[in-house]
Amino acid sequence: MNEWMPFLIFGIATGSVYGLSAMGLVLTYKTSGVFNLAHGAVGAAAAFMFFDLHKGQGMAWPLAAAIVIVAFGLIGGLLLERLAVVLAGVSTAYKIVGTIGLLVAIRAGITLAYGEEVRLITPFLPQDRAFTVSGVGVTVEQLIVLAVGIGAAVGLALFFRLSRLGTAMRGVVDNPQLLDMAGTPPARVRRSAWVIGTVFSAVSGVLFASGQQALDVNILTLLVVQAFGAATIARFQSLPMAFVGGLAVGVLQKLVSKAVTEHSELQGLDLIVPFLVLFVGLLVIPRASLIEVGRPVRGRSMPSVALPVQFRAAGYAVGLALLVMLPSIAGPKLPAYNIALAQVGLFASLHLLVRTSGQISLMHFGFAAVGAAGFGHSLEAGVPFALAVAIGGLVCLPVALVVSIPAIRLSGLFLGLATLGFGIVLAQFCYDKPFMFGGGALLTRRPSGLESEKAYYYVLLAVAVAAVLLVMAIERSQLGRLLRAMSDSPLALSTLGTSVNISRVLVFTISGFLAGVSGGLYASLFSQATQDSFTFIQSLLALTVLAIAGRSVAVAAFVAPFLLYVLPLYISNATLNQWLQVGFGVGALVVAALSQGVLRDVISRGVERDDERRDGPAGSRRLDPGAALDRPLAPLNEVGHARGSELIGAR
Amino acid sequence: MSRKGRHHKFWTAGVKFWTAGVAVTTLSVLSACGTTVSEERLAAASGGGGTQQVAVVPGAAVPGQQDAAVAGVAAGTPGAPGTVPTAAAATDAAVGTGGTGTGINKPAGASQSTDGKSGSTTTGAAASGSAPCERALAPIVVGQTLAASGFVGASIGNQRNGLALWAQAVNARGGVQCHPIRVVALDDGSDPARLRSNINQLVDSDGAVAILAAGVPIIGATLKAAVEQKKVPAIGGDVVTSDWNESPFMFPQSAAALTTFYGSTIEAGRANPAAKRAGILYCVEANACTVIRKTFPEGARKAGLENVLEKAVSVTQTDFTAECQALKSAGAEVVFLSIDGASAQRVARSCSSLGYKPSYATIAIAISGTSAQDPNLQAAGTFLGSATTPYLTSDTPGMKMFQEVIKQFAGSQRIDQSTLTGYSSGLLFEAALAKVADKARAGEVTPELVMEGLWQLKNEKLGGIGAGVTFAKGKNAVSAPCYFALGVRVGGFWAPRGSKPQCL
Repeated sequence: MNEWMPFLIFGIATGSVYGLSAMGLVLTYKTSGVFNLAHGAVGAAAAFMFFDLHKGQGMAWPLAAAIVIVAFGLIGGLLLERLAVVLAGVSTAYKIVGTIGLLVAIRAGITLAYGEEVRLITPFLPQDRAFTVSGVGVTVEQLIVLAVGIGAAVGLALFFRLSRLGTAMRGVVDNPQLLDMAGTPPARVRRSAWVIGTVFSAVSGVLFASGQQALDVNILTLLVVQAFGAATIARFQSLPMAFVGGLAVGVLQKLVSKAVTEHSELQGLDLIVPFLVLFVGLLVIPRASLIEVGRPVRGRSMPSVALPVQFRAAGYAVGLALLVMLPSIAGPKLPAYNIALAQVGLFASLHLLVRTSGQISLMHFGFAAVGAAGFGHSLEAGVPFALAVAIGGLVCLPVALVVSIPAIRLSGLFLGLATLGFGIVLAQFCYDKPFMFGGGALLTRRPSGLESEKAYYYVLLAVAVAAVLLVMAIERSQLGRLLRAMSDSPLALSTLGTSVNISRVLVFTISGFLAGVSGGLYASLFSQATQDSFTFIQSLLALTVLAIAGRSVAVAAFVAPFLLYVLPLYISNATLNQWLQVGFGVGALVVAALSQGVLRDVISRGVERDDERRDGPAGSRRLDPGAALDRPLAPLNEVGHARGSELIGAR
Repeated sequence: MSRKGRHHKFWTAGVKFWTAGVAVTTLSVLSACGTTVSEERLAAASGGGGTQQVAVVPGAAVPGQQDAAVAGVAAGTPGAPGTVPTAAAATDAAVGTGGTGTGINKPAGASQSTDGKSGSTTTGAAASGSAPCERALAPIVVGQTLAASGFVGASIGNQRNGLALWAQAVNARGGVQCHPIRVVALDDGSDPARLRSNINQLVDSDGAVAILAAGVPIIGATLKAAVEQKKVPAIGGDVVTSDWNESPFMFPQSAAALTTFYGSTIEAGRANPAAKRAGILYCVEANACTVIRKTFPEGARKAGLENVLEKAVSVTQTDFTAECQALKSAGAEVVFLSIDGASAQRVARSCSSLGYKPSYATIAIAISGTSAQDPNLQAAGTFLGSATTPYLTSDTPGMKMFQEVIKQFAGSQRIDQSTLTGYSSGLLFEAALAKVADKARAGEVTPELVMEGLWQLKNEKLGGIGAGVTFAKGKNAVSAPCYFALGVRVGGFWAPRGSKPQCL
């Protein structure tokens, strides 16, 4: 027992950090319906600001903390509340896109303000040893973090249960109109919720940075990801359970760390405990207990462009001609175009999964990694190039089958988180294993006789066009109709006797196969494949880029990788690059907001309010028969979700 | 808003917002993936500014950073991924730190060398038989590609300045075989695509005859493939990956990567003669970390230590007390840290909190000047294997010349091991051309001529900067199985073995 006790202590210390993060996530989620992936980035911004005031400007830490928590928390909370209003009315996929955009924008903003380098800091909390347990010293700082977590968990639980505002916060997401009718302005309740959430995030960020003794925007931003498992234990609902869940995950992690010490093949298992808890938790927790907060919003299909077939065909022909001529134009930057072409299949597959079938995948680069590893191992075994690429796709099938299991019982946010958890498990536990990259580089090559950039470009172009045509064919087939129907209303589809589950499994396997082929082609570009090219963050970015790259697969599949891989090469100023990242983040937010017409509705609502103010209570406006078409008929609710306009715009 | 009747306006608010959003996003470039985009062209020696490709002007100040004098070193992580969020190495820009420690004082306003020599190199092997230049011949363009920003840039970025210093010094002497040197340095951000584009640009557009001082700790294989395709030599660089000794087009200036990894463990073991056991902590986020893990058992064996524990860690961990406890329980007296500098500091702190103070070993680029000030790393003693002699030394001809160059041209620039890496790459190039001096002075210098000169270098030590490297036509470089020892102790960096290479 004695030899395990230290790990119990370590686990509680680590778990209190997870618990604090998880509480912040759950708090903002249950009061807004938006699972804020940028929660860590908000905390990181607060941490940078705090240490700049305290260490850089020499301000006493209590004053610096007060300024950051009050000013940053207040202003940040109000801004985020406005964002949440807009995002509440969009589908889950676009909510995720919006919060990723926010993460990117904040991260770039921090880099612009403070630079890219990691700043080493001295902690502002006492580092003295408070007491010793089984030879393990517990510092005052660790006790403070634990105390803050416990205090916040208890305090917030009581607040939500006993206070009027807390009760209102619980009600504002589900039915703001009812809340309004009861005399409590929903907007004020939401703002209070976001201010509290942002203050919480700021406190967490400052504490974590102090514990890390470093200001690293990347680490602080991603620390919150480890709290997803704790949030799962809390079913994304209960704040006290989120903290308890964090402690539990932390303790389990450290105990596993002790247990696998002697087992080389299990190294890294402790690191993925939070994500295993996330993935397994989402599978075993009763479905009825996993309630997605807020009104479910189905992705609204955008009105199709009324272009004649001949016009579209001409457009595609011109596009193809440009692609054929590209090597003559690209010059020395042709390698970047080759990377983009290699990824067309991945984005086409993601389009099929997300846009056509309404699923969410936050691990598509994990599929690409599996495909790359399969391709590399096949080449090493002497398999011909084309067959090796196909094998790269085929080895993704069992992985896709595993990932489709949560898709059978989950949807929306929880499906997205399950895939994210699986992707991180792959990255942190499997990548360095012999069956994948084996802690080194897999040697790869291009097909014989086609090694030059130009020659290989045409090979990649052919495969890219084939992948897009395949997805287009699927979309136009009966399977495509089934997938769209499943996206629209799985219940209706199942009442017609069609198996929704089989459709889900099928689309995941097709998508996984294409992503695996793409991974193999990517791996062939630079004579080697390593794990460095397939981080889980890229999966988040892939979804975001796809969302803004166009509506049709033929456009989005080519534009998305172009934006991701080619355009950066044409920008030669580091500061400009960071500003452009800010722009990208903001752009993603705008696109998310525009996805359901929500932003238009919010603006219209504001215009209507202006009109009413101008015309007065008597309403002296002439009624213009055509004006009705510009204005939603039903009143808008407080979350910006235009139910009336949705009815008007319904298919 | 006035109503326009039934006729729909095209430019409604929604369309405007959509157009703006798409335009902004399109322009936004999505380098959210984290690839850096800074593309810089440095003059080898120009009248300040250093961002334009200009002709060589002897005697001008070396463009470079005006950092405070700190005990810098080739900082760097063993290779956390370069895309969006990863760990980053600590750099010298610590908030609130004074940046003190051992290091070279760099007087500002250094004067130009006026020894009148021309066409000579700093190495004994290369300097023989060089006649004075009667006139300047056509400039030789050399290219450089490296990660100049981000966490990798923080580790190795000073290679750029080191090469620029060399170019400055050699141009002050009349150039290499009477050819002034022009350096074109491009940032690749550790992105394979960008590196490929850089090589295409440098060779096809800029006419570079060789790639010098490449900083590619993560994408060494991509550089190898690129230079093989272009048939130009890559001369000198970070030498962190084994690719440097796996291609006839790669010419490292000194020890192979593996040798330096072994050297770290050996030195850490030597510091504690009673040590019998060793362990390793390696990060899971980066390929380089896990590569080092695979080589660690052999390194422990060479150090005469038993490999007792290999623990995977994450660079996002707030503390490493569990891992330290496991190492302590296993009795590891030497711990190899295959992680970034900031994480290394947390490890040292966590272990210290348990009363556990092993000797630490890591690779040279993992510890920056700021990390070297960490009291826990200092107290425990940290050892780094390096491919070139410690930048602190001055008792060999090559290092004497290096210190002179710094004094004359570096100004207040931060000097670290990366600086020496860049500088020594230029020396190797110079040594190669000295072997084909007559041909170099008679006509155009081509990549083939450069390689012809390189192939004549046998056991080249660059005046004591390296441990010896041999090249032959059509064969991979053979580096002497020797490393140099760098250490961190109270006060900062030091050279435990002086300038002497330690051979396995």
